[in-house]
Amino acid sequence: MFSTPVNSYRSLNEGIFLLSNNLNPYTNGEIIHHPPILLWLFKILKESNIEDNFNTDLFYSLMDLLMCLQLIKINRKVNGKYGFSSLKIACFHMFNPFTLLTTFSKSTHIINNLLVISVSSCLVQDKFEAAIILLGLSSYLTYYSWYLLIPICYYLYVNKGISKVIKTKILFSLTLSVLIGISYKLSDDSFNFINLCYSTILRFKKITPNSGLWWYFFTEIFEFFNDFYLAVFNIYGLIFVLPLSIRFIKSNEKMNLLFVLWICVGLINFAKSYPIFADYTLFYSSIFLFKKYYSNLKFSPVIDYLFLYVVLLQAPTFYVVWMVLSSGNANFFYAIGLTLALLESIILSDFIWSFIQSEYYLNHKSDTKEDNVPPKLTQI
Amino acid sequence: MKLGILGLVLTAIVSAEKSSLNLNENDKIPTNIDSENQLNVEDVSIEIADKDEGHEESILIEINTDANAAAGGDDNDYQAQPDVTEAREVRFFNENEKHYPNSEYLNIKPLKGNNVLFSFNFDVNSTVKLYPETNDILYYDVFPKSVGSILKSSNARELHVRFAHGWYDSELNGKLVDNGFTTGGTGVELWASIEANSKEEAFENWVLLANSLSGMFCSSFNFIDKSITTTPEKLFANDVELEEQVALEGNIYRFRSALPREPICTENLTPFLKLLPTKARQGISTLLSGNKIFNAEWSSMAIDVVTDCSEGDSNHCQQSMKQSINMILNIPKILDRNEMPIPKPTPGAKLRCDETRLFDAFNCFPLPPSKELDFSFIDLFGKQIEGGSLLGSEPTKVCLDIDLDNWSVEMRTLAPVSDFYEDSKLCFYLTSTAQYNIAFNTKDASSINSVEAPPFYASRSLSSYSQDNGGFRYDLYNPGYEPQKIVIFETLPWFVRLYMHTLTVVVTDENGNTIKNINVNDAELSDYVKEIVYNPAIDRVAPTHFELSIEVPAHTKLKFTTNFDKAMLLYAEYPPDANHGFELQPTIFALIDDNSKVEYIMRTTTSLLVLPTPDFSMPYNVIILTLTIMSVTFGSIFNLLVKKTVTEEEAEKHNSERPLEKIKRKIRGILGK
Repeated sequence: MFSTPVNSYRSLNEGIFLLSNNLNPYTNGEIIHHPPILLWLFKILKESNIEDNFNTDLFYSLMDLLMCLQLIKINRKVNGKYGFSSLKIACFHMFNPFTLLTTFSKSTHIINNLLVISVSSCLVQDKFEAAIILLGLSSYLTYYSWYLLIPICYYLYVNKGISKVIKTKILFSLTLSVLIGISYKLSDDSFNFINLCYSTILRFKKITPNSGLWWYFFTEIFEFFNDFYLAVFNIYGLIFVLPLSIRFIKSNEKMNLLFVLWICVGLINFAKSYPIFADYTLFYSSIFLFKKYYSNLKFSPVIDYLFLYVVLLQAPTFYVVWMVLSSGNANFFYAIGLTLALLESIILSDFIWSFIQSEYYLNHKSDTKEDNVPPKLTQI
Repeated sequence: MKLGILGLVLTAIVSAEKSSLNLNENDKIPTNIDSENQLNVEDVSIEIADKDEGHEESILIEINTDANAAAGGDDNDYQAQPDVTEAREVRFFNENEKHYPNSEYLNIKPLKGNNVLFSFNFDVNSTVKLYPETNDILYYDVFPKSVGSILKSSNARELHVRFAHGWYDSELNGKLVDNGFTTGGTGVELWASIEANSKEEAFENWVLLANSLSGMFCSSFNFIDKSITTTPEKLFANDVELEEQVALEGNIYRFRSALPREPICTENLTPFLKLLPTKARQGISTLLSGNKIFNAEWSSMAIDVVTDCSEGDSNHCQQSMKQSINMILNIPKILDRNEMPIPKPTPGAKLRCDETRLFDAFNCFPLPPSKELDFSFIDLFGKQIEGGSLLGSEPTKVCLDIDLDNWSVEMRTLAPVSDFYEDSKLCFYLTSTAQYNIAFNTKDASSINSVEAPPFYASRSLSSYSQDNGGFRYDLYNPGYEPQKIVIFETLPWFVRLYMHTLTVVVTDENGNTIKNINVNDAELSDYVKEIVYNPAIDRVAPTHFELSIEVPAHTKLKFTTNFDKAMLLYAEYPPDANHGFELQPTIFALIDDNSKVEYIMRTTTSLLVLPTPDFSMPYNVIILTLTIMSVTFGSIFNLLVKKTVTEEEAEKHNSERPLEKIKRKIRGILGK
């Protein structure tokens, strides 16, 4: 739950150990699924030692702090005085149990969280080039982030025309090529790391129980259908991105772009093969940026959070009941994963509906009745 | 020319009055050198049943007709080939010389705890060509043809097979027989040296070899594939360095594999005995019957085939096959079983009670097991030795490593027997066809000849009871006065995801006081761990394989621990009884000398690993539930994106204008409501 094979701190340590003993983990065996640059970064940070030192503690604290600062920056920029105060945003993020657990579990996914938040921050400040480079880095680390390129490109297309989109795409592929080139060199001239890092995510090669939908499905599915459903599950995550962008991104509305990015992050969490707590940190810390849609929600964020905590407290319990005590079986843990997925789905659609309503009221300001009660909305 | 000799051979045999002749496919035997039929001759078997001697000699001649080579072969080439069989014709026809290069030897040694060790050893030799020509006639006399042709087709130069079951208690039973070279770990184990031009080719031959042996020994060798095969580095070196002796055409590749879950049983013993020249009808092998020897506390069967070209001539290499069976029998247990095949409670009258304590019709404090033993071969094996092996180049030898002051031994036979002493053992040669039975009697079974202690003690255990991770603990104890170099050889299946960086070493003295705790980052680690050979696993393709070279100081105990994660398997990859757990093959500990030569080798027991299991009754439920959640999410978001947003009033108005509503209204109007 806190770590999966693709972002576990323990296998990163194993990688560092092998590397410092002159055994390249990208050409021997299937131990590490972290991208090579990340491994080298940690190797330098930890001075080839396995034990945690001051550097790593500092590194993780810094990640957290930077993420918090970026959140505050975005909040100031897009919400102004309508949103929560900076102090509240900081508190919400820093004392969020998700954030604390993520930092304690030392999952490398926290770097990706920072990158995605920074991408959003750069976007709201109109620093598109920086955003694209950061996005490239994030895609390199976790694969899924490239989905976010679609809404960004669409935004640029609406606002600045097609030539800017092409430039962005070139910049993005350039960033990726450079990163992959460096990785190629770092892993002793071998492209095996692509297989280890990305093919593992796409093909779901290492089945470990996690809070997502994939693991039990692919454990139980008949081998004959395996490839078909791999394709289905992979397409599922991607299929929402373009419709969301087209529906919501209007010219020069930063908030809309931000909202689409945030919903995409939520949907990726829902549909990804190895979700972990760190993913929820990113999504649920950003929930506070969208205060202005709270009024139209069916369930307030407080209730969402309560539900989440109940579900997420049960998840480790059922995991222990299954794995350690052997008094429950895999179905318990799977059921809680399903509930979590359902909850995420409700939160996502609730926010989208709330967004649609706000949009409607904004466009039909003159229609509001005299007593200032907004009309009830529905869809046909 | 060669066929001419064969013709002569046949005439000679027919003319021999004593022998009865049994020819297979004799209609196909060519009489003409130029005949095309000669390539069809695949197998000519000549059996001489020597009735007077009361035993059988089986001599097989195989004409090597390789289909591929034959296709391109030319009759003229065939004639031009040198005659290689001449030297052996002499041996084949010498009526007086009935001794073939094989020998057998039985050693019996009482151990502590009313146990007795029986070691059966059988040696066979033959001369082979390393690279037989396509049309060579291959001769098999005592060397089994079945093994010979497998070795030939897979190009294996060395072959080692082990079958074992039970637990060897080295604290009680001491050093393993023959320093552990002829004993295996629980399950089956196979290693071989294969000559090939590339590793891929060698691996193909290895699989071929395993599959052939699988059929031969009725065992699961056919499950050997890449995911359980390793190429050992420090251990399992070749017994003979062929590369140094002759110029080889290819390279030698070594492979090793083990199947720890394999139960060893009668169906493995029967083919094992079939390989013997005596076929278990004569000599010490007559004692071996499946229904008795698997009652042993511990038993191990071994086959070692080695090719030795020490003369430097690849046409005259010695191929030797050593078969051995070692077993430890618990005598009282076997005698009890003879008496009561179905276990029942001991009747009251037969209970051995301590009469110094409370003792009446209802109370009985049991005495320790009796030290009086009285048994013979018939009690233990249900049989006696049916005469010595008269085929052998040496007479059958039976030796007793026994304390004759406390044990009385009686050789029961009608033939004259001469006994002699060899290294303080009492030995007999069995030289006739009479039956031999040895009876043992002792008042004090605990007085035995000294048992040599093993040079070190080692074990492996699993820690943690969680299903998603665990740890290994290796304990090693050097009781000696000298530091020892020991290699730990471990092969783990891919679903054990080992973390080498979690390796820790705890050094303790003999009394268990901790001296040092070391982890992988400490510089002190290199004082104990000299070298690590590590091949990480690849899922479903290659096992984890590591070999640790360790130096254990004198009078020191070392404890190694490592942690690992357990992988989940796919639904179909679990065996039928998944919750039973998965057997891990024994760890091998070997004491090596300064030249890296193995001096003593032992195997731990297997470990039972419990993996996380899914609920096997759930596939349909899981598929349905997961996909429902996914489609509900998809549906709701899709609806939100594509539908038009209106106020509720507008929606009602719109609804009322739907054609269906209009029709409904009309119907209501007609009905007058």
